[in-house]
Amino acid sequence: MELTPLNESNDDYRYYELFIGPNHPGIEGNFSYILKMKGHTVAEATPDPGLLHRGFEKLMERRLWTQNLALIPRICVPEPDVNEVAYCMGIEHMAKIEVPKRAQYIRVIVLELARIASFLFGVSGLGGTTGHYTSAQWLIGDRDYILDLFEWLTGGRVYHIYQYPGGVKNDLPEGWLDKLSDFLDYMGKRLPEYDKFIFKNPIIQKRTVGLGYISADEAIENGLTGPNLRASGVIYDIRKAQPYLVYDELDFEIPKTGDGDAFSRILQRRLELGESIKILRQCIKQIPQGPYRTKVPNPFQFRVPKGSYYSKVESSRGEFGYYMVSDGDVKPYRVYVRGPSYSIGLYYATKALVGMRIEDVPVWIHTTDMCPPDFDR
Amino acid sequence: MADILDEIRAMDLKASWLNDWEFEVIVPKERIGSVLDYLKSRTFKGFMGLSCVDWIDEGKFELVYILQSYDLSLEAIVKTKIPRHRPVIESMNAIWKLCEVYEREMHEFFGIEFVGNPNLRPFFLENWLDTPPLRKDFDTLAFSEELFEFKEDETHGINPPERIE
Amino acid sequence: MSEWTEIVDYFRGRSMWMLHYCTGCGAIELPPTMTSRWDMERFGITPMATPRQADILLITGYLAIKTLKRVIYTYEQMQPPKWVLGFGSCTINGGIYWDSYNVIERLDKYIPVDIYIAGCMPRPEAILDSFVKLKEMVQNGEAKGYEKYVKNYEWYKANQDKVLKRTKPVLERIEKVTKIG
Repeated sequence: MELTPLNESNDDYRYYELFIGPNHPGIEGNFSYILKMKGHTVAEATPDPGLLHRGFEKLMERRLWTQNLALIPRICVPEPDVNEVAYCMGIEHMAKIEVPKRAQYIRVIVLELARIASFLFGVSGLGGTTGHYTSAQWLIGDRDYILDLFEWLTGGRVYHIYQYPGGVKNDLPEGWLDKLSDFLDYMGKRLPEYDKFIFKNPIIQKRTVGLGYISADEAIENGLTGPNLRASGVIYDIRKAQPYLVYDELDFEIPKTGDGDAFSRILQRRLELGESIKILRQCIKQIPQGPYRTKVPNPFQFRVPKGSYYSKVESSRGEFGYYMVSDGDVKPYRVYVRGPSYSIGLYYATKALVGMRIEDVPVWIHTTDMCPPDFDR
Repeated sequence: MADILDEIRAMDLKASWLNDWEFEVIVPKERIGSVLDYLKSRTFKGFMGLSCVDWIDEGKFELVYILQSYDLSLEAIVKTKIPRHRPVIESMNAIWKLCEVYEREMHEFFGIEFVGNPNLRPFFLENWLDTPPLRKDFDTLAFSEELFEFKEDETHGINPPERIE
Repeated sequence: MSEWTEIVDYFRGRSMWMLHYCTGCGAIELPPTMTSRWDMERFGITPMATPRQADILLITGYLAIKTLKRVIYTYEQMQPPKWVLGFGSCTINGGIYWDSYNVIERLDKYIPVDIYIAGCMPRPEAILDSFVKLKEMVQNGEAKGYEKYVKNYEWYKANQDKVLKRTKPVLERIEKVTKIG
């Protein structure tokens, strides 16, 4: 009897198909890559999105401008506030609503707190993929202090629905800023510990240093934004380059790591976390008294003048953009959401994963901090 | 900063500022490729997104390309209109390879044909046979009621067989 | 019911493994439930990576049509006894996505559900409470959704096929193009 020889010339035997996700602990959220494998190495990666597709853009056309505020936080689950702020900023620009200074400061506080929470959640996921479960226990535990602050402020742990065209829904409760200040002190003490057990940890370093190198040109060409872009050496941050809210009144820097590998991507986020704490401390000191919201007339009759606008916010993953079109009705004519993970998750991954070993794939996915709900929408 | 707009206007195109950081350019369908190519050479290297607006009363689709310049800190919104009936436009994947994915999405949600895009297979939806869902003439509520049969009463639209419970 | 079944049910309720599958946004409340603050493992419940060794399938929120297919595959791969928890309003009546073209409305139609947790999103306390309730139900021999699925397989299958195996458009194509608000 003759057996089929198993050699290089026999393509069918060399390659096999492997589904990573949706039901896989190594992948972030409900998302899937179909990998064509040769031994341990990825030969081809095909993203398979749509598992979280809810048709937001269609649903938003059916609801009032203000009703949509309850819907949009669900687009990015780990960091819902950027959606609300970007959407409200768009409405305010088109309807020419002035936002009081105090409301702008409150928005910055909420955004930066959400950025810290998102970092803690993302790195704890990395702990899961590298078998470093201490980080999952510690970071998720610390994240809960932020969620408690949010709950006190807005009433919700995860989805806040706190922003409103013209400001925020309610003022800061009494004593909230003191508690925030306590939390920042606590966080300041925790950071050296994080550095010690995550960033100086030889296991994490061996798994991430030199993995998935992205050069500056490649990053721009492939539409990466946010920390992923900055880790490649392109220092561009919307908060600095095109300041919105009160970011131009605050003193902070954009840290520079610039190696472009997976380790520098998480390090970039870690250093930006330090800057977020700095921003929050300044906000506590500088926040003015005054109204927290400009009244919008009857929300059921609230019409946004004709026009279109692209409003964007720097989220912890990159540029979160809302392209909004109004035809002067009580409902939006069209809203297009640009999620920051879209280009890296659906396009760049097909190039970056090729040649990577299978055990590095979840690590790579977690260091880019991609969030499937924001591109599935 | 202002001269970029003058240059665009010199090309016989309509352009205007939306705010300090953003401007929009309105381009006829035939010239979209060359305008995007020109903007890319003028440091607008980041491709941020491709959107589409269904102007059903006019019978047109409006394609919106969002570009980013990292050197000038500017955002360019390039708009072009194509007919709604048999919408066809050339693919921009020669300028940005990345465009392929965005076009695939717009093909699925609006049914626009992108000439030159090799990959227009279904993307987010599976087994979709109806009108592309983001078109204005697609009724999502009727679709949902027809397919999922949910009712606001005590049965919740479930008519279980005798044996159940 | 023999004494032996009672003993088996008692032990089943003491070690339930939950499948590590995040189908929707509710998954974000699971890490706090699993880790130091709420510590799910107190109740003998721990995440498990493969469906074949898991007992609980937690549907965390809305199900897109594409996910429904994967969930059914997963559910059928699991070994009985198995229990399904519908998490959040979206599994009960579609929740905030009640008019969405890609999100199913009522999970009960496609796979049998033992417990629903209401809310968007339910707090970790609510999740733990439902686990305790499920444990009681299992120990009393009440949570028999998997048997229901076997008995009424044709009915469930017909419902699933209506959504997943469409052969013609759901809506009649309108010849005249009009805007629908």
